[in-house]
Amino acid sequence: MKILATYNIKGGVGKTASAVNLAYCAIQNNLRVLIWDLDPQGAASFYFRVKPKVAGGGFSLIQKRRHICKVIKATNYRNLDLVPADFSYRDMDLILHDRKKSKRRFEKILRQIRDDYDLIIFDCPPSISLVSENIFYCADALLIPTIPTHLSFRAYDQLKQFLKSQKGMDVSTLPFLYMVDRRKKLHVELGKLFSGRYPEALKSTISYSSIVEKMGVYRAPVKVFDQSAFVSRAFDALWNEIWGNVK
Amino acid sequence: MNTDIHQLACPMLRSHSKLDRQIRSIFYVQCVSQEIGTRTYLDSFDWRLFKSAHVLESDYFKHGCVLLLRNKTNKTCLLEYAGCEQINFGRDLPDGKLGALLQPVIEQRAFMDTASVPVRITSYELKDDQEKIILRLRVISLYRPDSGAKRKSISSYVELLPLRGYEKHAIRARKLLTDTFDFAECEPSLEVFDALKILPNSYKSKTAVNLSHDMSSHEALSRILIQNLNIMEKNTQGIREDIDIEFLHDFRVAGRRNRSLINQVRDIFPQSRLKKYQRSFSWLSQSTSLHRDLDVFLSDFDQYLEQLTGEDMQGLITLKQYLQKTRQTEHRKLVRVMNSVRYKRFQQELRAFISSDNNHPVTGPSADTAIIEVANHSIRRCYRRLMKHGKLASANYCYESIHDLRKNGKKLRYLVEGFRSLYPTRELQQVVNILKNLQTNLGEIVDMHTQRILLTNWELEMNGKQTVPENTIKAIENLSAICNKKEEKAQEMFKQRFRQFSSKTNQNLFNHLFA
Repeated sequence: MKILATYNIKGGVGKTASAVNLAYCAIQNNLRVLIWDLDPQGAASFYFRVKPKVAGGGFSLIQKRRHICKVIKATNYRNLDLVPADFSYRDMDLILHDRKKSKRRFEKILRQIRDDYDLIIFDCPPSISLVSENIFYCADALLIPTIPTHLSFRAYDQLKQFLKSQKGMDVSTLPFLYMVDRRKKLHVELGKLFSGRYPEALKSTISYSSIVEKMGVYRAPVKVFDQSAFVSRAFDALWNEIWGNVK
Repeated sequence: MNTDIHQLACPMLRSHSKLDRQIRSIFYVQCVSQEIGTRTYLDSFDWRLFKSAHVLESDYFKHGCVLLLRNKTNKTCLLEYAGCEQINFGRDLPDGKLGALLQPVIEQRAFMDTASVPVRITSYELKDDQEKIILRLRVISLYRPDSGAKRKSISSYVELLPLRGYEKHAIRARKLLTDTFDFAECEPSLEVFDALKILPNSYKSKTAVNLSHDMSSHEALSRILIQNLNIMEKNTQGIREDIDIEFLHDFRVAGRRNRSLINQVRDIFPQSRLKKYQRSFSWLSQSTSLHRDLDVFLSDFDQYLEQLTGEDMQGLITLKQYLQKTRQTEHRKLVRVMNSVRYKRFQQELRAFISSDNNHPVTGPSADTAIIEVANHSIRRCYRRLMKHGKLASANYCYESIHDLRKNGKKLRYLVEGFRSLYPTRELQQVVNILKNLQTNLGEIVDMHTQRILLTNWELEMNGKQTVPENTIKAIENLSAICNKKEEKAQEMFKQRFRQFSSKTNQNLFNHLFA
């Protein structure tokens, strides 16, 4: 089983859209996939039409009062399941703080479903917190959608510094450019800077596309309602590159 | 992760269209697809999936194939796999999941088509107010294969496919259908077998003849011998087509049982008349022996590979290629034996000899003796011989004595199993287990010893036919050394195992049961 997480300290950079679309690409490649919507906003749950509610809340999952199997919901797509968001996740840090081995709780929870899935994708909230640290410890790779701006690069540098400073945190980072607008000279220049400065960066990029925004209208991954769109193929290419790195 | 799967039929709704209309009237569903294809039920030749309450069904449509594995008892779907081609073995599925699930049940056996019927499937989705699918349903109809355009239905049923996290909707749907609309659980595979007059689990590789104590020995032994001949005959086509290696194994075991019974149970048939059949059994055993050795080695090949490293592994692969070629040659010879006049004549003449009627009986002096007496006598004699040889081997260990002891053990086991129905089940099973405990150890010693000899012979053969790479010679040597170590380890266990076998408790059991 492989564990990926779409993560960025900054918000609104395409974490959820990336998680949802990459998960869909994965099931098209015959993998069994689970998305865990960790963001209290519940955007991934919204896209998959699943009520953002977990019986007992995040508290019950962390305290082991509820087995994770009991909260998983199948989506409309075969082999793609979801752990829904819950508004109580906003207090997840506080719940974790009171537990022993607070940075490894998620690892323990995932052991219960190790044989059920080939891939787990966390859709993370934008922050560095105890929740994020749990993800950093259990994920194989962090997928980092990065808008081509200096501030985004700065945020990525901060993340790398943080990961370097933590003992035993050997998760790899796979940043990729998102919402790229090739009409903008700055985007093109920063794109070159990005691949030069970060050798670990993925070569595949996701251009800005209004079709991605239509996910909110159709409430589905892009490939479901527009298979032939350029961005659909871009997600395919991104998925292939990610899986090639991680497998 | 398994999901429950509910299959429900209603006696009043036996056609696809009626069932379809009813479902649409009960549930506010959307029809997703309509497909016509072929459904095939798969199982091993000896019905292992059926015996373990599994159903493996393969639905072929124009766009592809869907494989479904179900557990009949707890109504769970264990695996659903889309896009597979024809599968012969569990390991044929790309990710090995089916193999991992079924390996303990199916072992080396191939999947065979047990029944194929036309199928029509209409699929539906039930959604909530957010357009989230909360239940999938299918109306499925299976038809007689010979019914042409006017399809005659064998079975029409509804399949409820719960979604994870939404199981309560499937439970409610099931309750509604069963409580209000007279639906009941059904098992369509059984209906198909029944309609096509296929008897599941009709093949048994073990002798299972019902005998009574006062039955004449001639009648009892005839029944057992005929059953074993039938087992041999049933396996010949599988051998010819090389479907899997168990066909030859079952053939050889059935032949050995008969040969052993004829030798052990004396004076039921005229001994002089039996000589030619004993020669035929010997011929069949010799004709199939090398093929079986190759089958066993090649099927365990991956295990051998795991025991070696680096260059040795490559060397072993060269050996494997050579043996696969040799096996092809042996298989052609084997098919010639199966098709030979000599084999056909052997089957016909032995059957006629055994089944001789009352007007022209072919019997020996003990033919009319009650079978219980003859069985007890034969088993006691064989047991005493085994004990005697075992004590000698314990005192003075040598490979030949172990080999003979193993053969004697097999003879005893064939007798005990052949006459099984004459004895109380529980005690007899104890005897079989006691024997098995000893035989397993003897088998390990003999198998490892044989393996070493085979490896040496194959190396010599290869040397005679081609230049043998250095790494192959080294690999064979290393593997031989591993076999030798295992043989020595099993040898160390022998005395203890024989002590257990010959304990006072076990002796009392044998003496009491076969008095």
